Order: sequence, then structure tokens, then C-alpha cells
Amino acid sequence: MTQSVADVMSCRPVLAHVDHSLAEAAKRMREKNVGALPVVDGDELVGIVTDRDLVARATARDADPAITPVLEAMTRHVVFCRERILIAEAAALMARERVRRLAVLNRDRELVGIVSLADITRIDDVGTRAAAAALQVICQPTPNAAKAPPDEEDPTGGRARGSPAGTLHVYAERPRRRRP
Amino acid sequence: MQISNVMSRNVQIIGPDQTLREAAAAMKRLDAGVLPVGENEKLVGMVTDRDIAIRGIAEGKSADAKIRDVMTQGIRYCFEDEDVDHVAENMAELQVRRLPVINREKRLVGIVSLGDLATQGSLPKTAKALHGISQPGGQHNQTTAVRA
Repeated sequence: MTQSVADVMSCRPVLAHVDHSLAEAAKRMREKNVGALPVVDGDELVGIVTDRDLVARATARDADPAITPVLEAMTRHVVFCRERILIAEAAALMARERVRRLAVLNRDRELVGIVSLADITRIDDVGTRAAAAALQVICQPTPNAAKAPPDEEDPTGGRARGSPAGTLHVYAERPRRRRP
Repeated sequence: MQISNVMSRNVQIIGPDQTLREAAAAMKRLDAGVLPVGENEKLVGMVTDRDIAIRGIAEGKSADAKIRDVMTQGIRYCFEDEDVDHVAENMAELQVRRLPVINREKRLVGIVSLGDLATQGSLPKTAKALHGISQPGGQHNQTTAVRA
């Protein structure tokens, strides 16, 4: 398993804009058969919105999907990696951050793809085992989440939290949208 | 190991005539991605968060729409005394991440997810299930499914 993330990621992911309606985001998810869209504001990657976000933050709260902007339902916690890192490193990062997808950036910090646990699973037997091992970690209840009170704003129930402060690979380099 | 050792017993059944809003609120409260849909003591379908997003929100349905209109029909299930490894193989074959669990009296007693298998089951079996599930297609796939 010597491939890099660039070899297995989904290239040029479908994006949502912060001002798009949730209904528009849901349509894009349906058309492309994906569960998550990176969210951009102009040239900046500012979040990610999943099908689950739409349900937990709009339907459950009675926000009208036709007029509620993606901005109000997206998750701002975006974990990213560089396109040249090895698959094993990507799986380890997912396990550590307890996420199933990573945004992939090139050397110019432009968003070039999304790599998911499913992408890693499909590579070969080694990839499948690495993904299963990551899933074991991701699905464990976190000590931090157990201690913290349930967060109404967080549809993941706190599982995406749990890394010590200062170590998160989160939007620290201000990744950008790639220009065609 | 038996499924009853790893499954979640925290299950809430929802009725097909209840609303998407009620389903979404229940999913949030239970931190669950799927709810069994029951009518007259029988399971008639399953509704997932993705069903609500794709067949509800994307179609312009309101939060007052009925679960019946977005749920996935055709119930697959497993028994509480089934072996974990066997169920993992079934999940791979059916390409589903969660299965309702019933006892031999046909009563719903829990839900088992790929996550439950991953944290409590064997790594090779989880890997096998994950591999099967991650192939394109499957029961809840929203692009190829033809709905009556």
C-alpha cells in the first residue's frame, strides 16, 4: 500500500457555497451520490456539509431548507491532508481526528479532492484492514465526549471533538478553492 | 460471539405517518442514523438520515411530510442469537451498515451497526464487511434504486 492519497481520492469534488440553500445542497448530494460537500466562501474552504447535518440542523429544527443557507448547517471542523501523503497516514489521521473523510490539498493549498474511508477500503486488502482499524477507533466513545455535556449544535454527538488543542489539522492554513 | 452482546438496545420505532421532523428529532436525540418504521406491531421499513436528505429535502418536501414517503421499504434483519461474524458477512452482501435485531419471537430488540462490529467484533470480519459495504450500490443507494 504505497499509494498516495492522490491515487485514490475523488478529484474535483462537488462544492456547496455558504449562501446556497440546504435544498440546493441536498440536490447536489443526490445528483452526485455523495454524502458530503466541501463548503466554500469565495475562494476559501470554510466547512463541510453532510446529509446528516441537513437533517439534524434543518429538519429537526424546522428550518425551511428552501431558504436556510448552508452556512447555518455546515460543520466548520474540516480536517485536511496533502495529496502526497501515504494512504496509511491518511487512515491514521482519520482515526486520530475521528472523521471518515479528509479534504485533500495540493502544494498551493488548493482543494483538489476528498478522500474517504470507503476510498481507502476499496484499494486492496491492506487498505481494507487499515480502514477497518481506523473505523474501530472512530466508533469508540471518546473520553472527552463522555465528559462534555451533549452539544446541541453538534450532530456528531461530540465524536469529532477529542483531539488536544493545538494539534488539530483544521483550516489552519486557510486552504483555498481551486480555480479551473 | 452473539449479536445480542454487541447490539444497541436503544431503539425507538417510529410510525410511517409520523413526520420527517419527528424522525429527525428522534435521530438527533438518540444519536442514531436510522430508525425502524413500525405499523401495527410490524416493521414496514427503515428510515435513514440520508433518506430524509435525498428523498425529502432534495425533493422540496417539508418537515411535515410523512415518513412513509421517504423510507426504504423491504426489511432485512438478523436474530439476536446469530453469530457476529455471520451477520458481518450478511451486511457485506446486503451493503447495509445497520440491521434491526429481532428475537425468536420476532420482536424487535435492538439495532446492530458496522460501528458496533468494529468496536466489539474481530478486525478481519469488520474489514470484510466494510469492503462489501463500500462497493457501489446497496439497498439505501439513492441513484439506482427504483421506487414504486
